[in-house]
Amino acid sequence: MNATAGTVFVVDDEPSVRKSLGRLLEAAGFHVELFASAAEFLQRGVRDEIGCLLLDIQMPDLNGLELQGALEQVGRPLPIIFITGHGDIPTSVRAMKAGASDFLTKPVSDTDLLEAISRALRKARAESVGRAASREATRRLAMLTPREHEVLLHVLAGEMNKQIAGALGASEKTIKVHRGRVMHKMGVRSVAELVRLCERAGIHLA
Amino acid sequence: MLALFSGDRLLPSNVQFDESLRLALDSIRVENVSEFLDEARFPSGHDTRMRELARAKLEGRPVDVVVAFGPPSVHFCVENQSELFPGVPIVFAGVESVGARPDPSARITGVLSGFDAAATLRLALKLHPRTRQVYVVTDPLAAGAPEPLGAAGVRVPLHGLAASSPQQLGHALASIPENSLVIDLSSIGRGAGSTTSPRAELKRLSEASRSPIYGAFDPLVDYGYVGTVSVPLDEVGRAAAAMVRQVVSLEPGAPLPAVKVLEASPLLDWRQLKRWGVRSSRVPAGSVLRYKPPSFWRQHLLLVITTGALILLQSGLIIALVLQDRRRRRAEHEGRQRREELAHMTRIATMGELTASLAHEINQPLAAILSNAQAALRLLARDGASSEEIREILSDIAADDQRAGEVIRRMRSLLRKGEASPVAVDVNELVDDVASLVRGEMILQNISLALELAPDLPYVYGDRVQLQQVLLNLIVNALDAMKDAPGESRSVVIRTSAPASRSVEISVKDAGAGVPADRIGQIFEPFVTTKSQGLGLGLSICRSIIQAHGGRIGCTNNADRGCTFRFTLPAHEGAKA
Repeated sequence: MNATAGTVFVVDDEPSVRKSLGRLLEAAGFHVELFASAAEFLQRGVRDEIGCLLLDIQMPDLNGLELQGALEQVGRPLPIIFITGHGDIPTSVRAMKAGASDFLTKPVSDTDLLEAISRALRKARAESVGRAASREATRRLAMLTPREHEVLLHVLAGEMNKQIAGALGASEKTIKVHRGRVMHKMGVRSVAELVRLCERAGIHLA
Repeated sequence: MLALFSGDRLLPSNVQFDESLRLALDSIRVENVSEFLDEARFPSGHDTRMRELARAKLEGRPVDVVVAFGPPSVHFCVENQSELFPGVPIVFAGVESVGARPDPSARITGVLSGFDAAATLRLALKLHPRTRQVYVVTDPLAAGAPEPLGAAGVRVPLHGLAASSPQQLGHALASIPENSLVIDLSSIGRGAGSTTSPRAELKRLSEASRSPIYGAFDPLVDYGYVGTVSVPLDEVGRAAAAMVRQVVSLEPGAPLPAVKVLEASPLLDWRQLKRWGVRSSRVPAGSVLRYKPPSFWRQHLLLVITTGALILLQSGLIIALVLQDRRRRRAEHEGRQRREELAHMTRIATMGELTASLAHEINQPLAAILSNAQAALRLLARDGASSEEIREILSDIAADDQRAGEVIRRMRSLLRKGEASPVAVDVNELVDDVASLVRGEMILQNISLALELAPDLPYVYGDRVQLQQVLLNLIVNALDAMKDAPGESRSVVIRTSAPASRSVEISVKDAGAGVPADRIGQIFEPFVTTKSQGLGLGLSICRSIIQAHGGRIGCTNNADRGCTFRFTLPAHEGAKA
């Protein structure tokens, strides 16, 4: 994957600003999609793709911060770069707290803008990779039988086979078989690997 | 009463004295018998005949008082008192003296009226300061002895000149040199010793004379003589009449009143003074000026005063009106100036509230320009940039630049301070202009703006900046009113319409708190405000602007929420948008 891979979604109600930003980003080699409003962008929806949002914080219908909230709710957080006409501190603080990737003031110099975009896309890609891994871990986790799941939780807790057998009321031998199946199904060879994978799948150690 | 005159009946002195005497005695009823001695016509033995005539005439008629006028008459009466009218008081007049002091037992009294020859000479010399010599006319018997003037003490040489008739006087006058002065002390003018009236001739020769003539005798003033210092005959008449009244009202046997001496005073003919070029400043105070034409003032005094008063009144009125008009104009001008200044101040204040919005409006095109320019640079740095692409970018840059310039232009025109300049204004264009200034503000405040502009509106006539100010003010008020309104209802609607064919209406509707019902009638008054901060001048200025444009402005609360301000302006004749 090269540095410009991914889509930049430009949302700005001002046609000339939108168009000029699109031009600049395309000239810099990015793939760009333009939207006149937050609603228009939400309608398009975001599937499992790599991208970032370039957003004017002041828009008539749904402003940038509200869009940020809406994306959060549908579980598709994209890195957002806010652009504002006047960088007042309260707004920028709110934006950054809500997880803004960057906060730029108009007019934006191209180097600042392109750096911010690259940074956001990098983050998006990283998140994308992480998301793929956790999806795989979750899929493998779903293949475990309830008994194997029970054994897994004890393994993750760092218990020896003997302790697990005691806790579950089974023979040490039986536990060893279950443990072997879990390691196989999850596709790991060491307990350390298993712990990392389970974390991705959202299982946290008690 | 018996009045006995000297000389001819028609002698001017007799006529004048008689008239003033009768006039003064008019109030007491006196039977008046007049007799004339006419001694000049019948010189010899006349006294005797006169005595007999008088006795015959007075037979059976008691006489209460005798008035004797002129020396011969006085002489006659004094001589014959005891014989003709014993015990009857005699009042004399028209004499300078009664000669020998009358017998105190004789019932004689009267008025003495002198002629002051010396004073006459002094008066004449005063009035004619260039006089080199004086000729004194005397009766032939007294020739060569101008004796009464010896005491006048003047330095000018005096020459005697004897004449007994106007003819002789004429000859004498013809030979005297220039710069002379003539004092006539003769009895020619009195008519004494003459059987014909000398008046016409005297008048002719005095008018032909190259030297001014002063006389000794009041009536001479009528004959072309310049003047005299003597007692006017009417005064003599009045004094004699007063004496007569006193005498007739006396108890029998009571002593008569004392002889009265009348003071001589200067008597001048105004026409003669003019003829000899005497300056009026030389005329002594207290002189009697005869024939002085009444001055214009005296003649038309009432008319002059009335006319003058009217003119004064009128000019006063005109001046007052002019001043009032000027003051009104100045006040109007000052009022307009102050209104414009105030309007300007509030415009600046309003624009101040909109700075963020205005910055946004300028920033947007600037941002687009920068991005476009940087995009173009990148495209050029890369090989294979099409000139078509570059051209498109440049034309976008130009358009954005114009947009930014337009915002600044509008802003400047609103901040401009200047005299109102009325033009035909397209109302919809006006709304668009103002909307572009506040759009940024509305975005910042998350308020939506809807324009409902009627097509084909007539133009209005007015000052664009002032009308923009009104609209701007109403919109800013609307925004302020919605500060705390919930998000979904935050909207402003600007609507234009032509409710009647001759007017245009613009309304600004908000969804704010509305105006409290008890204040809605006052919000256009100065210093009435519903805002926590604000002077309360904005709406009063709006109203004065709309009124100055011949329109009306009002406010009503909406049925649901907020209020609507609307103003109407008269349509501009003959122009259609």
